[in-house]
Amino acid sequence: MWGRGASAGSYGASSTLRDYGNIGAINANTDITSAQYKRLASDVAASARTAPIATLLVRYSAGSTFVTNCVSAWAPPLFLEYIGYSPPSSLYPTTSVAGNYLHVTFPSSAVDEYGVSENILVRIAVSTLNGTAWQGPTGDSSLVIYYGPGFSDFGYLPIVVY
Amino acid sequence: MPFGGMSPMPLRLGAQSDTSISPENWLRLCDDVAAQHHPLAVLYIAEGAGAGACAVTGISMGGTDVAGSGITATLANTSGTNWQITISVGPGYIDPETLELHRWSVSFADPRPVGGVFISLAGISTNNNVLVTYDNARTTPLRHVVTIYGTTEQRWSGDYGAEPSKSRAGNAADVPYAWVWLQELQVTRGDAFSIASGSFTQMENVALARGFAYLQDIAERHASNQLPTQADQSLGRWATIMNVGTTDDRDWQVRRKCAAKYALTTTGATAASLNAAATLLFGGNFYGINWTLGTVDYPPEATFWPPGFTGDPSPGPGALDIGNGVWTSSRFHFTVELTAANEVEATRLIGIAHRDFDEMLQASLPPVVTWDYRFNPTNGFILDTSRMDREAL
Repeated sequence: MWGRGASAGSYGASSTLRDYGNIGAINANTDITSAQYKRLASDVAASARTAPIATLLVRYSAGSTFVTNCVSAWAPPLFLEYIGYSPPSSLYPTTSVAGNYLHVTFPSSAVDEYGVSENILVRIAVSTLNGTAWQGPTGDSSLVIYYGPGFSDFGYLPIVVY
Repeated sequence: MPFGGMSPMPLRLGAQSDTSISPENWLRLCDDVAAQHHPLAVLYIAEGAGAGACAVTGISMGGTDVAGSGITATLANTSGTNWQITISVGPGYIDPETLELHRWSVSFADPRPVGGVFISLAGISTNNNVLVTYDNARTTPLRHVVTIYGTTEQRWSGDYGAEPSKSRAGNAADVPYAWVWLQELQVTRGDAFSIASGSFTQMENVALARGFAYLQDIAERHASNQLPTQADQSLGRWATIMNVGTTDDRDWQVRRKCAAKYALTTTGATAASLNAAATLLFGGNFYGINWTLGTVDYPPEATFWPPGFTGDPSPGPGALDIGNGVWTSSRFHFTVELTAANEVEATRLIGIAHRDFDEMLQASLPPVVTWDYRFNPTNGFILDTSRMDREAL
């Protein structure tokens, strides 16, 4: 899902899917037709295309900036705020600050619960703190946020990643 | 057992097991899908030096690259130092696989300028246009991330074949017809023929089993179409027979209306058939029908007996005398109680009530019978109407 490679066909609903013998539902009260399944798969694929792949809360202060909370498509939610100064990179996206720019880096890929690996590709991100702005890049596993006042004071920065 | 050579589409719902999907499973899946509401699009808009078209990239429900999708943004100087970007997202998104247009309607947007602290405001105009205006004078070309929210075509679980009234296919869900035939063919042909996978005889067995199963499906389909709740191919015919309008309705909505009218028609208008019809039509929003029937000997208090009526112990309240010796009683009136979670749902139900259920009742009940609708309050109760009053205790 985080690779956004799925289409209706990925869910078994290719455009040529049809009912065997083209007979439609044998009993409409007990059956799901190919047309209904295709509609379901198409809607799921459409929703998945614009679903956030991750939502983060970044805590910043002079000399220490890290992700405290993370909800992502590829890992269980991390709602328990990390209160140390060196969060494990295997769980939390890593962060770094250079001037007025915050860099957040995700793992390059993740494996779903069925063992299928997909690259983590950030296509666009929205930082909701006033005055902050996403700077790119597109199609990479990282993102950059610009903040005019800089990240030296203490604060929290929510980011929605698409 | 879904899919596979022995049980191809349509998917037949079965008991919840290792080999089938139950109606409850399917309803839950479809309800969860119908409840998903993500942004219509998240756009990255780069202005040019002056007025004119902006570069637009980003994602939408139609794809992970909006380039070429018809979404455009245009910067214009509205007056003096006032600037405005008009983002046109078009009538909807095109499914990249089926190439069908799925209409959408923009409700609001969240614009955020990139690389500066300017504040932009958004409004929605007609034709799905998002308007982003500058609060401050524009100095340099800005870039914006704009998240656009709204609604797509209404999604109902019924569109995906899920309904609370759905049941498992008793005959073929867990053990497909073709599988039963295959076992039969293997046995009846005896051990003189190989049943090894890939052998000619086994391939013939499989082909014959699928063919016989297909014929069995056809027979079952013919039987199913005799009832509107089960009909698919003959649904249009049922709509004609039951004189049910089909304009703008989905198949499952037409099926519900046909089934409700069928319930009233086959058994006549009894309290039970009225309840059954209302349940079919309103689904989980139907709460009950309140009908003060009393008995012939003890009619409801609000009953007027014309003078001279045989065995009349008392004429009843004179206010109910409508003249000409007409017998009137509150037993000719009932209240249909519905539940609704919000005003939007209530509006939808009122539409079904006055468009569909009224028509069914008018065709099924004597002209003297009247009815009204009431939304069951979520707190408190209505005396003599609600099932929570003292009588219920």
